[in-house]
Amino acid sequence: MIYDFLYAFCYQLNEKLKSNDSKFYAGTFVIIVIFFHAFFVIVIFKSLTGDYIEKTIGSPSSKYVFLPFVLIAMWILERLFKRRAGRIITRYESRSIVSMINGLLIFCIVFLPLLIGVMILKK
Amino acid sequence: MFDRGLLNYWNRNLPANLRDPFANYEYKRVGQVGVPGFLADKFDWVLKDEVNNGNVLSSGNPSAKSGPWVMTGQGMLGFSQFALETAIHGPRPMYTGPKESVATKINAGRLSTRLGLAGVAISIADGAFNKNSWQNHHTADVAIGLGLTGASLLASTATVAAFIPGLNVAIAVVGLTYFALDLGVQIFSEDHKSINQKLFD
Repeated sequence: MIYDFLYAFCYQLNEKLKSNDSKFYAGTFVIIVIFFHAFFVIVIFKSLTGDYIEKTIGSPSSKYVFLPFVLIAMWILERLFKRRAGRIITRYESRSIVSMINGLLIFCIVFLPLLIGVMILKK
Repeated sequence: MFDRGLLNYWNRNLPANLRDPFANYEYKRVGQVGVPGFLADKFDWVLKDEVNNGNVLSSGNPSAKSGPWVMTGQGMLGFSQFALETAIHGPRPMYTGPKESVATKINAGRLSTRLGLAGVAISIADGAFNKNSWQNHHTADVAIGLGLTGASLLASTATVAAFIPGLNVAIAVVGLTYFALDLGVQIFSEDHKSINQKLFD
């Protein structure tokens, strides 16, 4: 699973930097990536279906309308990766995956969907 | 009793050592204590010599009747005296300077990271569902959220924490203040726009 790889990369990077809370920051990084990917999926869906979403749920009056949903999603994902942490760390324990090439690959995995999504929305 | 004043009544009827918890004590030099470089005099509250020798100080009016008020007062003063004794002579930790709490640092880091993450998430959700599509303030919101998350991650590392102690707490305070301010501006301003909307759109 791609998110396990991202988690392991961020965990090993944090351990190298001697962070005092490596597991938490690795989990947070993966949650951000999941949000970016979800954004990309929504944008693609929106561009394919036209104004279907707007007609169904309307347009938000404030961005803070999303806060409860975001907090619930964060809580669920944090618990999920807290449970999976041990297994992921053990799987990648034997080899170091922190390298420049992996870093570039992860940069693309994280930011390309966001950039493409924004470009589609701005079109 | 109340006509003459409760305090007056107590003053005349209670034994001297109960009227004043320090009546039998005096603050004097009890020895020396070694501090780096020199010996310093050590002072403490100790029982007066006459009390130590068995000559207890005046115990007040011997004809006073021990009514319920007096007994309650004696009990309260006795308890106060016990608390005072414990405070003065009780055990203390060796180091009384400022303490660094690891839990505070970790929790502050987690709070600022979650704030940053929530900021990013609600901004991209707003950008995706907003009828006006993606705007400049969404980019600014995402940048601020990622900056907050990245800064708290850096502040949690040993190198940065060694140079700037307490940075985690500072970032958490800044993040929380910005979050509250942005929410307040959006709720109470006339056009209901956030700070970044006013600045970048």
